Amino acid sequence: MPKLGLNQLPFFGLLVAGCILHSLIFFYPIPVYYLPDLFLLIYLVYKLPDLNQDISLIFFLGIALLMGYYFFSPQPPETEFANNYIIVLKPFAYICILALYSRNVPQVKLVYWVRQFLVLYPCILLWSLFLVHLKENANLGHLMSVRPYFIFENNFEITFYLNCFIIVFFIRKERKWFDFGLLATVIVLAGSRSGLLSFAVICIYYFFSVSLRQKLVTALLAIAAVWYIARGRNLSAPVSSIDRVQSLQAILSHYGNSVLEILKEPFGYGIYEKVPRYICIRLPDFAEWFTGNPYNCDPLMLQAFYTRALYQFGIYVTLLIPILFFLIVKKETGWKLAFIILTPIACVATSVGGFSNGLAFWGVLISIYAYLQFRNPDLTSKC
Amino acid sequence: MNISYRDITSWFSSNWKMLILIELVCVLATTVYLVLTPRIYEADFSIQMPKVQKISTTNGAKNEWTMMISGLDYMRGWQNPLRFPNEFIVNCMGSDTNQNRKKFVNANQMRLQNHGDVIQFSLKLEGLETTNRCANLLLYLVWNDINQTFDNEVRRESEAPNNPSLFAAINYEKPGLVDLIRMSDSFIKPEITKNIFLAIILGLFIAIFAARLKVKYRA
Repeated sequence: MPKLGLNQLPFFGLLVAGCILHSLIFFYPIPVYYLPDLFLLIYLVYKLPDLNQDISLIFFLGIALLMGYYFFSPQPPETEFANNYIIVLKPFAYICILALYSRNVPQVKLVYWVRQFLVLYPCILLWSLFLVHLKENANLGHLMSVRPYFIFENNFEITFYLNCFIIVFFIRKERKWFDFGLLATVIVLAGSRSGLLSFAVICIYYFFSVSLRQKLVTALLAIAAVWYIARGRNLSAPVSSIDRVQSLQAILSHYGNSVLEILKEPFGYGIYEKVPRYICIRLPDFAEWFTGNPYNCDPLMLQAFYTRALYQFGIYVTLLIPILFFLIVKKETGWKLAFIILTPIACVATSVGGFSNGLAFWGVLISIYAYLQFRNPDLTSKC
Repeated sequence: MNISYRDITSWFSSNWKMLILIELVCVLATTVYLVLTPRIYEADFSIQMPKVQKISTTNGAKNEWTMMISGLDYMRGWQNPLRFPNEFIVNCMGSDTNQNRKKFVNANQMRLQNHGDVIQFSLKLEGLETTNRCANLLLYLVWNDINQTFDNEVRRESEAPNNPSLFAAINYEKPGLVDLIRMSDSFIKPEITKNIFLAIILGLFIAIFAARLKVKYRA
């Protein structure tokens, strides 16, 4: 094998495995939503013997919020369906895990796998589009509006991918055009609006850390990505027609669009309360889409983390969650990197679960671990 | 504060007897609480508010239905402890005291349903029989009140002299009982699983605190 070196063989092996895995999920949909949390649980148990770190008050604050909302949230009438409150409580659990495991670094050299994933993921997205073409005989116009994915909804995958890019570019400072080109390709292929928002913010950081020539390329790629997604996802439509904006407006109208009314519910309505029925039916089909029943107005139907958290946790705790994440990450990486690392999860929280999503949380955790491995290479020496 | 796997395992190995003892005491205390505490039951019913059809003020060619009474304002009215007649409080709560009036208001939760035109009443009180009786009394009270408001409004509308036809009512929709009284399957409070779980967690925290005290005073 003259050109195809042995180093590239694992990559092709992974690519084939990834394509097979995606094909299985594409043709035989299986529930994968809790898979990142399952892996997280396995990791926590596996690394428990290595637990040894200073924990701050944030850990206890996370526990107090978790227990407080679980035990003391008011119950809705018994005639209502129960909420899926486990998802809602996840941000507090993640805060505790981050505070307890942020220095419990894996012995695997993460950057190797991150690099593989950076190249692998766009290939799998192309494979996903090819499968759509095969299955639905889709033309190019149709494929532009399709949202390809690997295992999960691509909003979450892009968050993770952005964190992988951050590891390579901002943490390890390997400033290659190729990686940025891959990132722009992924954003374009995925057609995710929240992904585009994260990409735009990352572009700003990127813009200030590269040469003039790269700045021009960044601007061109960013404009191209916006143009492509604008065509595929109809971004020229009025802002109020976006479902996430509709749900935010509906919740704000519940408070009479008044900050004072929001402040009157300092800890929100709790994790068991339903979305008021008159708001629920104003958001057509959202409840059915998320819970399978139009009468089950679980706040998960509001989709965006910030909207849901505003209703369930109140304004203070909604703001406190990103701050606690930031404080923990800042402790390990410094404030500049903490801002960059948390950008994807904070941006995606405007659209989907964000701080309550396992894959997005993995992105943050791996970024911290990659930083610690980069600063202290001895951490992976046992490998 | 440093925490490590070794700390955790050594803490458990040296304090497991105390931990089990405290956990048992906490669970036992919770069991006693669960046995002694009164059972809270729930009764739900929903009422549709009356509506009136008039010519739209914004588009004269169109008729529109509006609420005769705002659901939100109507709900607020029932949050006043002095709103309830004396006999109602006596029949429901046993005696007409200020304390009982406030207790009843707090036990009665209201929510807007549908397009904000249906009010759901959710009453949570001690004992199955009391809750059922109070819910029936409340339904009777609210139903009469809404119907009376409706009749008054219709009478006022028809008796109003020189009522310009532009603002005259075209049609009415009477109040309706959307859901009759529905009792909870069982008591809703105290929640057994949650209380036991809370006792176990509290037991753990108390054991940690006790272990620290033990170390401090032994030294």
